[in-house]
Amino acid sequence: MSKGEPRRVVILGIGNLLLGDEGVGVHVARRLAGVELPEGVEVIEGGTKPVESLGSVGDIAKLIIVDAVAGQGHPGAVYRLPASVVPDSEAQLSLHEFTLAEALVDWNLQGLDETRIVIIGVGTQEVDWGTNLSPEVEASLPAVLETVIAEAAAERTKRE
Amino acid sequence: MGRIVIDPVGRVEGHLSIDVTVDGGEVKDARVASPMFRGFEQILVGRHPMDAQRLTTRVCGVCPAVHSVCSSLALDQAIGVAGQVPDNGRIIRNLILGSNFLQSHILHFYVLAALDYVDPVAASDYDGNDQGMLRLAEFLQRGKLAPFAPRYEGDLRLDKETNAAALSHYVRALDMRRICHEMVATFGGKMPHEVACVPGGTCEVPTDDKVASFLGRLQDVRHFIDECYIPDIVAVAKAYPDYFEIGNGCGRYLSYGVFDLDASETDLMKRPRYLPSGALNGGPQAVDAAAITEDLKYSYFEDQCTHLHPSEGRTEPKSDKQGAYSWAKAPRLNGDPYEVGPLARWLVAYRAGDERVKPAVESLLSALGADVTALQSTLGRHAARALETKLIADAMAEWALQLEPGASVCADYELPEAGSGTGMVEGPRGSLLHHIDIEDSVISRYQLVVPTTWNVSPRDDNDQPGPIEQALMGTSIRDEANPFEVVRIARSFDPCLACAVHIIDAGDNELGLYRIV
Repeated sequence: MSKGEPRRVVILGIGNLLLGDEGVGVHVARRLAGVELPEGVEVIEGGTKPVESLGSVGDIAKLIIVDAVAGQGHPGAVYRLPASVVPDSEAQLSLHEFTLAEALVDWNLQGLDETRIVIIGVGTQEVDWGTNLSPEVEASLPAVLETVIAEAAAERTKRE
Repeated sequence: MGRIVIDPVGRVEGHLSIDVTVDGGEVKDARVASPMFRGFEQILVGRHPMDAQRLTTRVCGVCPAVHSVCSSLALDQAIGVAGQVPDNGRIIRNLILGSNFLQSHILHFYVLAALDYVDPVAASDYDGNDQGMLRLAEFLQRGKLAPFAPRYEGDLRLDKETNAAALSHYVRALDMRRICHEMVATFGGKMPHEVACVPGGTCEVPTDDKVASFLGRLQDVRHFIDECYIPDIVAVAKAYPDYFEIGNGCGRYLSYGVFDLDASETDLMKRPRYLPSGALNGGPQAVDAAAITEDLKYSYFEDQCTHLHPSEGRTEPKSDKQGAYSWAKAPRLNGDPYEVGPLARWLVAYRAGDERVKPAVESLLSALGADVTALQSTLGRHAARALETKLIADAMAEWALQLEPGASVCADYELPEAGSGTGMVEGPRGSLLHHIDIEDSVISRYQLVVPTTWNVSPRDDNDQPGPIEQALMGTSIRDEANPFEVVRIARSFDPCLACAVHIIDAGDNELGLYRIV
């Protein structure tokens, strides 16, 4: 556990690349690799195992999670959500099914509380076998990237 | 006569369904079933031989390293470089595998097993100075009981102070997992699914910086083992002594040995290993690899593939097979079921008079006032797992210093058009075998006989129950509404169904009367 003021700003893209729009968080992380970001902002591909992708969490000042959001009929819509929208961890059946809910518990116990976490959600069209995004979600990516970068930049500005 | 169905048993990891019949407060029958088929063996057929290590390591995200190492051992033989792996390559394989053992054992005890003995809800009124405990208390005060509930009630015995210490260690254990992952990644590139183990050795050349960084992290884990893990095991053992008497199992134990000390011997069952190979069936025996078969009478696979050695083995699913109840095959040695895992390794080494294992066992037994027969039990498995974690961690500190920065890590070779090989090595949960056949430059057969398959195996062609089934049968159940005994016995084997099973068949997934999650 690190000492002093938390300072890391992390963008974590999560989801399953094999399930179409479900993998949008990972697609966003990959696109960010080719984009100029505010200094010191880390981008991590969390895939389907977010809990083990962050390393030490005590020094994270801001965690920006990019994930698919079950559709309310608005594929490609961009949401800004607090961590509290994630349903409570319940049936923990398998580390292989260790979801965001369990990761939030784990992170919380290790000192990364929910006030430092924000979720940028993307409404889905197609969650089914396939490695491509639906046209609706693909079309929304520029807006998602812009939102995520603005979120990270705001945090950097706050710390300077 | 009552029937208790527990599905799933794993608190965090693995899926296992247990169906026990209780009569007069005693388990009369037990059926342990694995509800999934995965198909790795089919996926590998027709692929490039170098894909074997990359794909099989993905069998499991908790203990991926042993699949990587075992696949590399099988390929060493198939390619013709078994015995030529340079010391650096041998040691790096050991360090990657060893780091994964530490993570897996610590994770199993604190995140899966300890919550059967330690009461997390008791932390809700904590008012001390431990940051982890304060966070846990705050968490519980908000009414967040998952992942600690629901659970069985009525038999949590630790005093308040010991309980609080164990809980604080639970939170620290989450950080130990991270450190162990970083140790794997130091030499393996990443975790899970490290990429350094390859046929012939490794593709990672050690540097002084990496050795130093590895040793720094190892030191933190060794402190945790000495200050938390071992004392917690002793405290649980003292509070639950009756668990040294139940869950005994089939009484036969198997180990392939692990951590190569010299890679020049090509026969893996004769290769000098830090923890030795051997079998116990009454007395100690050498492992006769040719005598390993997989029975299918009660497994969802075609009957004509039954009782074959892995080198002849075929995996042909039959999901509507009459009489079958599990997707796990039933591995047998000379036709008999064998328990595998830390306890099996430690009993094999103890009976061989191993100079490191013997004193460690005797010291623990004297602290507990127990004799060696007590080890063949539910708590014996936890004790062996903890002692093993310490033994491996201490040895790794020496192995890391034996690396020669800059020296060769891998044998030279060209891939042959044909060949075959069998890798055999111990993983955290026990004996693992990978068999590969290569024809026309592609994989023509790949068979895995994994540790949990030995332990969760269903009945075999001769109707002999598997090790966990045997450990459950005959157990007295104090309270059928809270069958603590059943889950404690099953979890002591550290079952990990991710690798033991070879697509979820939702139709077969009977929901239990009781759910432990």
